[in-house]
Formats: sequence, C-alpha cells, structure tokens
Amino acid sequence: MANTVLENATAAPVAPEEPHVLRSGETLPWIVVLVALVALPLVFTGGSQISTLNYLGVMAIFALSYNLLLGQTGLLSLGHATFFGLGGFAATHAVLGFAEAGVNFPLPLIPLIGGVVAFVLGIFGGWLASGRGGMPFAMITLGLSELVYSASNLFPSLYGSEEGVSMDRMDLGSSFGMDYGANSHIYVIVADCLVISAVVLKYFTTTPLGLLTNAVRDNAERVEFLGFSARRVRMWAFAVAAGFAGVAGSLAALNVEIMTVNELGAATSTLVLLMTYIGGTRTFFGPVLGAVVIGLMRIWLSDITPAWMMYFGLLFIFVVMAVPGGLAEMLQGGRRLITSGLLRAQLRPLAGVALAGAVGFAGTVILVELGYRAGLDASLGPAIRILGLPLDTTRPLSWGLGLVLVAGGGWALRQQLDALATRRHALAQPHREAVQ
Amino acid sequence: MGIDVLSFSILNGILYGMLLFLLASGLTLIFSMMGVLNFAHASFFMVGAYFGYALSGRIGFFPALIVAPVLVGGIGALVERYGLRRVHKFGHIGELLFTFGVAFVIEEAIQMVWGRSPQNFEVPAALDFTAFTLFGTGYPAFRVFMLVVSLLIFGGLALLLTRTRVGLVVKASLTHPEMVSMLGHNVPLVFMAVFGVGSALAGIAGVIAGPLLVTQPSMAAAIGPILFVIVVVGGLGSLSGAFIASLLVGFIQTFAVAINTSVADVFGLFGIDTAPTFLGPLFTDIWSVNVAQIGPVVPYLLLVLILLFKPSGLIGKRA
Repeated sequence: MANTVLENATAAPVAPEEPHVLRSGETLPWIVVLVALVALPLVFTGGSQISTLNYLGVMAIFALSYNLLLGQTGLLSLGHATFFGLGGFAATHAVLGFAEAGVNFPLPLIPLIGGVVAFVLGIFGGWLASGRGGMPFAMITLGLSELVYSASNLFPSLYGSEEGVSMDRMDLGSSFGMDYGANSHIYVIVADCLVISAVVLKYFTTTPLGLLTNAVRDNAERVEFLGFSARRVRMWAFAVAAGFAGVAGSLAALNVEIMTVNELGAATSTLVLLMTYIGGTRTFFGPVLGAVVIGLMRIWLSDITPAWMMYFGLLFIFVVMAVPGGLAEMLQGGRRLITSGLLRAQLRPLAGVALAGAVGFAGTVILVELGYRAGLDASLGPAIRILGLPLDTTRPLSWGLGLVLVAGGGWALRQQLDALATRRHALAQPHREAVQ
Repeated sequence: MGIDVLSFSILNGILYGMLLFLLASGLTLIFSMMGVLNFAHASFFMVGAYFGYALSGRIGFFPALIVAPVLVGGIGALVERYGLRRVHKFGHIGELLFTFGVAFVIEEAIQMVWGRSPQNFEVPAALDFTAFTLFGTGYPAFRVFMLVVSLLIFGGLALLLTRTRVGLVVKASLTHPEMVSMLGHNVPLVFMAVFGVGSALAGIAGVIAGPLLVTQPSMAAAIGPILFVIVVVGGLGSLSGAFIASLLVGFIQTFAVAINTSVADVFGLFGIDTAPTFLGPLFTDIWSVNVAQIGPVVPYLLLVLILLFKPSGLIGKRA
C-alpha cells in the first residue's frame, strides 16, 4: 500500500518551489540544538542532572513525533502515549528477553526494537483511526488509547501489575565501550537518537509522502480529487509518528529502568499535546522548545507552587487563543522584529504591551496562589507571600489587589495592542508606497 | 444469574444509561451546532456535582438541583461567548484544543477549591428510603428519583425540539444558520443558548449523580471517554443514536459488574480446569480474566468494532 502512495506522489507535478532539507533561517535552530546537546552534559555533570537531560531529550523526540501528526498532517491525536508506552514495554521486554537468553545485544539498538514494534502497531491503529481527519480522528484515537489502557490490567504478565515492569539496563553487557551503568552513557544514546530522529523526521517532510501530509492538512478533499487516498497518507503519517513515539518510549524505559501503565495513559497523551502545542506546531523545532520549557517547568515549578498544573492549563489556553504559533513563533517574530530595523520606532508601544502584560500576569499569579492557599492548602494558614508581597486569604484587600491587577492589566493590554497595531500600520505605509 | 439480579441489573442499566444520555444529549446538540465535540462537557458534569454538593449544604438539595445547573449553564454560556467564539477563526482543531484546555483548567480549579479527596455528597434525607422491595431486596428511592428526573428531561427536551417554535429555530440554526439569520433571528445568541443549555443539562446530571457516583476530581476524566464512545457509536450528531448507545453502554457496564464469570469458569463447563501452560503466560492472563474486569474495556471494544463495520455509527447520517 505504501508503494501506491509513493508512486502516485512521484508522478504528481513537481511543486513550483523545490523543497530543500534546510532553508536559510532554518539552520539556526539546528545549530542551537547540536551545540546544546554537546554543551549541556559538560555544564550539568551530576547524575540526577544528566537524568533530567535524558528526560528532556526523550520528551523532545516524543513531541517531534507528535508534531508530525498535529502540525504537519493537521491531526489531533489524543492517544499518542499509547505508542510511547507500548514502545517502552516492547523495549523493556526485549532487554529482559535478551538478558535471559544470554544474548549480548547492543543496548543502543534497543530503541530500534521499540520503534519498529510501535510502527507496526501504528499501521494498524492508523488504519482504524484515519478514515477521517479532524474531530472523528481525535475521538477514535482517544477511544483506541482508552481501549489499550483499560485492557492493560487484563495482561499482568505483559504490563506488570501496579508496580510495572522493571529491568536492569546493564544486563545486556557493554557495547561501544560503555557499560550503561551511568546516566551519561544513556545520555549518549538519547542525544544520538534525538539527532537521528530529527534528521529523519525533517527529511520525511521533504519526501513526496511528507508533502502529501501537508496537502491533506490543508485540503483533504482536493487531495482526494487529485487521485491520492487521504486515508493512506494519514495512516502512514500515523505509523511513522507512532514509530518515533516508540523510540522515545524505549529511551524513557532505558533512562528510568521501569515501565508502568501510566506511561500509556491519558495523562501522558495530554502532556505531549501541551508540550507540542505550546512549543509551536508550525515550526519544525517548536515541539523541542515546548518539550524543554514544559519539561523544566514540570520539574522546577512543581517545587515552587502547588498551582503548577493550573499554570500549564492557563498557558495552554493563552497559546490557543492568542498565539496559535506557540513559543517558537513568538521567538521568530522577535527575531524578525530585530532584523527589520523597525524596532526603535515601535519601542514605546512594545514596552507598553510588555508592561501591561506583566501587570495582568502578576494579578493572575496572585489570584491563583490565593485560591490554592484558600482551598487546597488551607491547612498552611491564611498568610502567604506572593511575588514578595505579604498577602492574606482572609483579607478582601489581597483578593482585590489581584482582581484590580488582572482587570487593569487586561484593559491596558488592549489599549497598548491597539497602539502597537496603529504604529505598525503607520510604519508599513511608506514601505507600501515605495513598492508600488 | 437469578431473576432478582437480572431485574436489578436491568433497572440499574436503564438508570445509568439515562444518566449517560443526559450528558450525551447536550454533547450531541453542541456537536451538531458547532461541528466540535466539547471536551469540557464531562467537566461541566463534574462542576454540577460539586456545585450541587456545596449548595445543598447551604440551601438544601432541591433548590440546589435548580440553582447549580443554572450556574453551570451560565459558565457554559460565558465559555462559548468569550472563548469558543473567538477561537472559531482557527478552525475545528483550534476549537477542540480550546475545550481541551478548559477541561484541564476546570479539573485544576475543582482541586484548588475542594481539594483532591472525594467529597461526602449524601443522598438527601427526603429521598433516603426504600422505594419498593423486589425479590426481598429494597430499591433506593433516590435511584427512582434519578430515573424520573432523567426521563422528564428527556421528554421535555424531545417536546421542546419537535413541538415548539424555539425548537424549530434551534434545529434550523444547526442546519441553515445563514438563512435563519436572514429571517431575523440572532443565530450567535441561539448558539450561546444551546451551549449554555447543554452545559446546564450536564450540570443537572452532575447534581443527581453526585451522591451516587463519588464526587471527586477524577469523575470527569472517568466519564468523558465513555461519553465520546456513546456519541461516536450512536452516530455523530444523532440524538436517537446517542439514546440507544447510552442505554447500550449502561447495560453493558451494569451487567458486567453483575456477572461474575471468568474465562476459566467457561472452560470449566467443558471439563478443562487448568490453563494450558504451553500457550505461554499471555494465555494464562486471559484464562484468569473475569467479566467484571472486561466491563470497562467493552465500550472501547464496541467503538473499534463500530468503526470497523459501520463507521457512520448506529444511526449516523454521514460517515
């Protein structure tokens, strides 16, 4: 079936602009990622810090694979963790099996096994789910994922009971000069897998099938009229995404040496959706940015405040409503602004926007923290220090301050955004005349 | 299974099915209107249960049964007016993601206010008696009350949609929004009202289900996926399909709990008592599975089967 898609695709008229693997302006993120991958383990050398880096790398691969569906094919999957988890369980059982059989299988190739298993399962899942895109696809992936999750307690020998399946990554012996006892050895595998996955996924976007996935996202009906099967394109995109999710799952299993059924549950699917979308679905490396930012927030923010999940939710809604391109597009916008040479002329309204946004943000933080202290954490007492201010959940003044800041910040933000738009319009005028 | 267990399972199955339909009907109405399934629907159900719990402690259960759904409906209308309507320009994926985010935030907000542990939402004293006794076992009056409320709402909704002018305008707005707008009706207002009423229905379901199911922050996540199964199995956008699927899932889940048979028992009937070990550990797992364990899996299995053999759903018009 793959052949027909690919043959059809190659027979299609060539796109007016020949796709390049690397366009100018897209090389910077690659350089940043490569430098970061080399530099980070030199800066953070502690065992648990390396483990955190491994976690971030795993999530980056997972989010990249998810964006093949969400950003590239326009498919909202609510069950991507299924393949992350199944890949991880496949890898765990592979390690256990090879260890028992006494085979000295090189550990760095284990993710390949998890990836292939997830890819094959993804073909089947994709075949079931890809009849239509959009909402039905989301429903079906949710149903399939719940099916796998709810069926997992029927097979304790496969998924383990509540404590999951654990393994020892050193059981396979050493290969490539590493014994895989230290987290840094796993980091080498994770970093290599991240680079390989990114290159393969980037290359995939330039293949005929990869271009077709964009076409299916933009206008599935028209793709059908051109003689392609939108269903098959979705199915193969789904399978490839599932395969890379399986690679990520295998790496997660190698990093923590245990897999539990929670890894294939709805919470993990939600996490990858948040990471990918907040990072940005329209740029190739947006998901990596999201995985790093959300991954670090998950680790650090949860130490600082009980409300960290609430901030995720609010950030997600903010991105959905205000910046659908995500953090990556915000960064790109900033870069364009600096290189456009018009930064100085817009400095005043931009500062206004930033100030109004900061005021509104501070108000939101105050209200959320007060809310958590008044409800969930009421046992800690009413007095709380938020953003350096001594506040009290029993004093109306504290709540009033939060409300005033949110309302005032929101109102001012609107004014400043209007001012910014007017300024930009004025700046664009002479340029337009010059073009004409 | 004796006749007593059978009759109680039928009663409970109808009860659970009607409860699911209260939720699925609002979801279906909102879907036919916007072409988007509202992920926050089960969250409004949960908010209904918590509001019902909080209000019944202050103003009593029956006033709470009115006030809580009104509040939930108000929240729903606000979410439509200031949220969904604004992300409409980003297409269906944007709308889906928005309702997903709302569901996420509502679950957190519930935990923020009421904590993570279950609430002690008790059956009101006025309904805390045995309605009737069947085969020597009593049936609680509260369950009868739930059934009556669900049936009343089902009947009322059916009458409203098929027999009144309001129903006519709503149905026309779902299919021909431009034409209805030309005729001088405020279609955005109709959409907001339908979203609000759909949320209020979920709120009612929450208040009456709160004492029976456990009122806790995970109740939305527990019932949400089941709702989506119902809507897809019944046929997207079909109210009667949602009705049939609700009862079907209600029966499947109640009967699965009532039947206590395992795969081993079935083979035991044929004189095979031990699992054949040569088939490996996976088969031994299947061997010890009993029906109560399969219960939660069946709705999703049903979903996959429906997708395989009748993608349009039981009463779906389009695939």
